[in-house]
Amino acid sequence: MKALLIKDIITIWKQMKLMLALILVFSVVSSDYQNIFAVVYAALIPYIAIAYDEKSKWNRMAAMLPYSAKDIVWSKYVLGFVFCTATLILTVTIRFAVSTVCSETFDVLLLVLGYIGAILIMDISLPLMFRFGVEKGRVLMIFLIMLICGGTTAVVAIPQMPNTNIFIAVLSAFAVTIVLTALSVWISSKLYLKREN
Amino acid sequence: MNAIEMKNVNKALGDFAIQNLDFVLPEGCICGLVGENGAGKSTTIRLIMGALRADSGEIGVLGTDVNSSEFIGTKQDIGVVLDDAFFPEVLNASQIRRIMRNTYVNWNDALFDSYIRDFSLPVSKPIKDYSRGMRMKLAIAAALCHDAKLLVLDEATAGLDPIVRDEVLDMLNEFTRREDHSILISSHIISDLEKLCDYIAFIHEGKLKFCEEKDVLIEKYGIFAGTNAQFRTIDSDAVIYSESNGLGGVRAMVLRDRIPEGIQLEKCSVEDVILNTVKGEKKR
Repeated sequence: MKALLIKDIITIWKQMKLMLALILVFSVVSSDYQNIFAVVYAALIPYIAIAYDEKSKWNRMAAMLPYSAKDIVWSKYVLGFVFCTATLILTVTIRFAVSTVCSETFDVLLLVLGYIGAILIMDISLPLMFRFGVEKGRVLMIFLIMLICGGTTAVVAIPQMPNTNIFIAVLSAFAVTIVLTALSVWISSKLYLKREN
Repeated sequence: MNAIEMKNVNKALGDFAIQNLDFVLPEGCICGLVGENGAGKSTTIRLIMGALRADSGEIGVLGTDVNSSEFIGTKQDIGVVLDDAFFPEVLNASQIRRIMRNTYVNWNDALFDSYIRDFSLPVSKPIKDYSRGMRMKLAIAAALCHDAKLLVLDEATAGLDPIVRDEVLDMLNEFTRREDHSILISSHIISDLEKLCDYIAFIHEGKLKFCEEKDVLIEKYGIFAGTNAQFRTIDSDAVIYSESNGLGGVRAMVLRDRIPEGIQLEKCSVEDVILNTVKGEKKR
């Protein structure tokens, strides 16, 4: 799996740098929506990696190399987790710096919820990408963007909800995410094999 | 141990099917897999590499069942070259080396670098800027640099100019100097296979028509070119395919051992055997 991760990172490095620059801009702005969007936006990374694979017909080659279907599927999830985590750390760091300099407050737990939202978006979209591919699933891109925007809006609205304890919301969301991620990886592996066969 | 063993393999893909495929590649041998477009060569290779799951039958490569979890480990000993280098096109040779180093346990950086130098491949240029010949050389270099025991090539020489093809065939010949090294190569270019292969396997419409030693194959058949009267003396069961030569005579491919004495036959090439077998099938 290390080889697959190296391949993806090298392949999409330019796009990653561009995304990181955008995330930087969203993180600096003093707006809950923009800050959470910065974290949730990172869920696009696996989509970009799969798109590059399809363009070069890499899967034809990968099927011949000593990679299992599980490695191929897992590598995309790991890529997404790593990038989303890096984005969260970056956004929290920037918000902390900005809030210190500008005497503002920011809610770390909201950003963590955004991170969980990004993972959930990957859990929903990756099985569909593995089954239908990026080329055939162009409508998936629109669906993905709607999920990102909708997810961000939902997270921003959580503090406004009556009788809502954000800490409990985060813990519950983590638990659900762990279960959904395990299910998503299993489904993705099955769908990937079905598509390749 | 045979390098490849396929027993009664069947695989249906829409309106095409691989049917009752029995095929063996003995260790240390080179086998050419020939067939028309859509005959099932690439499908057979995908089945052998476990990229496609057979509906029934058994497939073993280097002693391992391709459906077992151990086969991923066996792939460390198999080098594959497809009809193009399907690496992401933004990668360059140096980056591909890094990926392969982390893919294969026995990867040899120094050997890869020497192939890149010998082929004059630009190391820092993305492969999207490579010519087809350069991409194939890169793919072959990648397949040869991890101490593989089996090389599988699927139309790897198609579209290459004669000079590059000759270089590739030399590399493949070099690979087979070790007794435990085997090659399965599929190609339309029968002249390449005649130069390289010990065995020729002919696949047609999903069925393996024959898999024979090249020398035995060309000795088995002969080309008859003579008059109608002479042709009528030949048993029809000995005729694979016949056609009028346009001058009142007949040209046919026949089984040598079934021909009456006194009839002269010309030598057959592998290409003659393949073409006449296909024409004979179509006529039937």
